[in-house]
Amino acid sequence: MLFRDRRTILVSMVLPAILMPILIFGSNRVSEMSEQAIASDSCVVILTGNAPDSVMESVGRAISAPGAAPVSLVGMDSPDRGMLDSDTVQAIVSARVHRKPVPEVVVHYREDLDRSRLAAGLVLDRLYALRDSVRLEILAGRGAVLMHDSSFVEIRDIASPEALYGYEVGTMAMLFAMIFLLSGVSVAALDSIAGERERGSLETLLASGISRSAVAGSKLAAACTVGLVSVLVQTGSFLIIERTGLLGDVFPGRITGSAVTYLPMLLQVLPSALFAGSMVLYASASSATFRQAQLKFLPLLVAGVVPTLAPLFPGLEGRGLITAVPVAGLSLCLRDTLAGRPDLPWTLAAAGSTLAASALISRAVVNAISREDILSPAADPVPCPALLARKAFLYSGIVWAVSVISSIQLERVADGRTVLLVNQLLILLLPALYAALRFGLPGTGALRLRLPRPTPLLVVIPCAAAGLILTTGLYELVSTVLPTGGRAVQSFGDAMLPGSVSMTELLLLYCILPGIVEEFVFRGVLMGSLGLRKGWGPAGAILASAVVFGMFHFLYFRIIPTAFIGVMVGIAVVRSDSLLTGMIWHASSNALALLAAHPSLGMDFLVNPATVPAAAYPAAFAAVFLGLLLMKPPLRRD
Amino acid sequence: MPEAAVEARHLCKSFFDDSRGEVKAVRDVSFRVGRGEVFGLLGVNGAGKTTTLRILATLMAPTSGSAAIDGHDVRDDPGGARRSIGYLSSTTALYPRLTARETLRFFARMNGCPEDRLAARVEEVIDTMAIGSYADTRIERLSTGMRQKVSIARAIVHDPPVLVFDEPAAGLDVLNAHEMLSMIEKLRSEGHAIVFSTHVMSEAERICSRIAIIHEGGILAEGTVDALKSLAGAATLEDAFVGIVGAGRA
Repeated sequence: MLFRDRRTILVSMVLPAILMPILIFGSNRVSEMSEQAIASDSCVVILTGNAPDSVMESVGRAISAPGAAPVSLVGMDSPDRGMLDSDTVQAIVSARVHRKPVPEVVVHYREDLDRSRLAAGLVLDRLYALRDSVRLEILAGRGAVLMHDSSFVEIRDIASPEALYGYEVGTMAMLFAMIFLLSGVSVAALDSIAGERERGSLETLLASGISRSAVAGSKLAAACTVGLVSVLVQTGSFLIIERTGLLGDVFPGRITGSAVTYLPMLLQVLPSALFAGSMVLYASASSATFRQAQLKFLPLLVAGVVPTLAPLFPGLEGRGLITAVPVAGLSLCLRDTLAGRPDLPWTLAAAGSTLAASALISRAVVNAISREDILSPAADPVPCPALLARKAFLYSGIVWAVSVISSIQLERVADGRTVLLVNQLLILLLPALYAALRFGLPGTGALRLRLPRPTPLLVVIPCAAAGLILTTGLYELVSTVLPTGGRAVQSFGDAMLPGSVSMTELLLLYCILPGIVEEFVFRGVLMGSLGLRKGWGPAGAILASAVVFGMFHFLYFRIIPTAFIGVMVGIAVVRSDSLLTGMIWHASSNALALLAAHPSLGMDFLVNPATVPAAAYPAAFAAVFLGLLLMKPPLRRD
Repeated sequence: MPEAAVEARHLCKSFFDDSRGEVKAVRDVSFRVGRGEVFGLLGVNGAGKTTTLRILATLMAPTSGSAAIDGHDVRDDPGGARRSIGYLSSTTALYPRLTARETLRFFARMNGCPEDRLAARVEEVIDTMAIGSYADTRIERLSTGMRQKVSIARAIVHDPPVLVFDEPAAGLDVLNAHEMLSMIEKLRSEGHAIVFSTHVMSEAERICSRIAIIHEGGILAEGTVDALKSLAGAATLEDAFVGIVGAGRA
């Protein structure tokens, strides 16, 4: 009944079965034609330079020697490189003698032009041959007795052509299988829950006597069937082309195998089909409409395809820990199987991890279709603080990605100040302000925009200093697990402290601005909205916002210490019920770190673990603990 | 009162809405429905009818209270409860690429109809519902009225003792709505216990043995049409409804 839908058959079987041979034949033919056209054309090579005549003559003779492709050599004193751009000349060979006794030969060409690339390869081969023969002549002239054979290094490949061919095919086999699986599975599964929900048949189905697990299981089985049939059609198509030579010499070999080979292959493809099927089904189950589900297909394709690239990584074998990565271990096992080295125990281990992942995703599908709101009509949610709480991580992820990309791109064209200003004001502050206004975060409620009482104001700066000492200790501790390397720290320091910036400007840009902006973003909007999530409470919000705060300090060795600062500041904000406390703590902490870096002030004990006495850590911990304790208002006895 | 095939006891259902906070969709709803009886839930849109019926159909779990379908508790034995129910609403749809006969076979299997009785039961339902002339036509090619008949056939194909109809005539034209109500009357005469929701007074007056007026999640009054009229001192069911709901608001 599944295949009664013409679209299913067309998209998952007919189109790939027709298109793949056409694509293979077409690309092969185009490549052949291109090579023929290039080979039949003569290449024009210009020889220029100030090398002695004998050198120029030898180089010229070598380049224009008769060979597979004719080369027209032109001598020119100062050739224009524009000739390479216009493809009227394919390579410029420059032979010059500077101070060295040996002439320097440089070949200029354009990699992005086919004829130029071909000419450069040809010229290089001939120049290498010339260099070898000149070297031998020089050595012989100086009395070395050289037997040609004595300088040969011979390599012998003992892999059979079948094994080599199987290895090459196997390297890409799971990648193609996954693409066909996902495309086949998506035809059946992407629509099967989201589409049924839209059409109303899901309500009918869920009101029938079968369990939710049975509904999910049968839909998964149907989706996998389509995916597997798609892979079978493609495999059949591949084997026909390979065995019959229908499209010429596209596949220069033959996959050989027996039942011993095919059993592991079955164990490699079936779990992958279940993995692909469960992923697509989950996308469908977690979407309100078919259109929403379609939007999730690209991330699914990436998630499915990335592990199949494992065979492309040098040195990765289908044994060991990689088998724990769903699909990746199977991809390696499939490659080894096609190369004639099937390994059943490791295949079973890799299949086990992939099946376990599929089972977890399938469980999530069952949970999704067991939710009561699965039958509620999809409606545009009304913006409100609780909705922001649900979307907070998604928005943080988007802002994080934009921040990473913009920092990398901007660093090439702008100075550190501009990068910092763009990052703080445009990328962090603007979206947070927009979110706070659009979702109506209450100013004195979730955002805690109010003045603190005197006690937090008095203790916050000593707390920041003590917190900095603790953070330094933590950084040292983290360094034992995640070594930072002097160069990374140095380059970070250089980026943070450009020599041309005055101390006032530094304090403004690196202390006050981040203190205000980052506290508003992370402790105000993010922590404030996360605190509205059901069951999270202040502790969950503080921890989660601190982790996100750490992630925004991209360098890996800064993430944990920064998250730790986030936790301390988060507690201070919650206990004092004022965002201003957090802003003062953050700005003070940055300022103290900055001042400590100044050698004349003698404050480097704050940030230099080598000079921090051991007793300072418990003292700093006690100071932070006491400070945070004092920030809480006394209980009112009404 | 006949033996109870449906029993709802103090059903409550609350939702958490982002903008409105906790919304109590159903408040302390209790009723019993016997075999051969049509029990109507009469209320305006958003009164809690659909939520109540979805709890009976196990599509939602009650926040508190309980319900049993033919002895199967909806919370403890949802599979048993679903197999004892034929559920039909204005939004339940069929698979467009299946024929009517395939649809009936599919849902008979889904609801645990024994394989040896399946074919005979499907033919029996096709005869009962008089859909034989288009039994082998795909659903996508049927008219709205024909589809609605197949939907009823789908709901009764596993011969459930209880039928839950949530505004089944919504969206149908006069003739199709009339035919739908006739079928429900026929099913009642065959001994099914039917829970029926509507906001159309004439439908409720025509087929319901007893009616519960539901408003803002709670049942305000319950009884036969005549009992409700006399309770409200009204001449028509519509007047009685308006009077009872008005009194409930006050």
